[in-house]
Amino acid sequence: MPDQELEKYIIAARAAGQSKEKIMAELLSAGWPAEQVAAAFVAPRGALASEKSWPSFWTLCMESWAIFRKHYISFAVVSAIPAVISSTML
Amino acid sequence: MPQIQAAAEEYDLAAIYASLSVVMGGFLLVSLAVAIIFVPCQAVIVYLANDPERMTIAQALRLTFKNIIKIFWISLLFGVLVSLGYLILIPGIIMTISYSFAIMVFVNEGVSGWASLKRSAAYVKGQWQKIAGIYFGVSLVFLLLTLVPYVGMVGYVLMPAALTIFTDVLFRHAKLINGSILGK
Repeated sequence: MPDQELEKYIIAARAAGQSKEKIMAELLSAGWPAEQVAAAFVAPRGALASEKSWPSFWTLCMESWAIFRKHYISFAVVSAIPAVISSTML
Repeated sequence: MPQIQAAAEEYDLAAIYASLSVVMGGFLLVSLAVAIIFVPCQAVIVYLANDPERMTIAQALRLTFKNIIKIFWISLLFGVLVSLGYLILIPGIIMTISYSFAIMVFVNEGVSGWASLKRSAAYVKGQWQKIAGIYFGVSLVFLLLTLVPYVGMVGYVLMPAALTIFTDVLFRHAKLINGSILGK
């Protein structure tokens, strides 16, 4: 089971926009066992597996934002297609 | 005279029904057209959100077109069931939330058709109120955003992506909470 502190750190780092590779490298250099780090990344984003509870609304928004900023141009273009077409049709 | 008045009222009622049918029919056609365009776009967003580190837009598009029939089939099942549910309102709301993870289930687990809707409902099971509350909260945020001049327009354009990414994040949490009962 991944360490709770480790997951909390990963959530914060992902929300700050750091890449998976960079976070992993930092954790490994800080002395975290590779197995534990890998297990923490396998768990769903932002989830504290040991608690099995919902994070706050703000945390969910931050997780979504962390994903959005990775491909914001692609997301914006793909998102605009139905928005533009529906507004044209209506 | 009462017969004439009754006939006139009946005629008006018939005219109202006819007009309503045309408006509803038009609305349904536009909704269907929007769904046909929206669903593949939603799938592209889910593929990208699923692995933002490695997935490229070209790969996401390729995967979407490769699975387009399955994606449309899920969308059609979802659309028909939810539309029928909305005829009596409450079941429509319940089904919208219960089946909202169907595309995520397909992209993440490869489960398609009716099975993806059932699995989505299983992930929502026991968490319905929480998920409904979160959806209500995020919808309220977007509604308030659309009221702000200029920002509203950007919010409107980005809403499909933002809501899809948000739903994907919700799906992962719901899966973690309810995943054990599904053996996943």
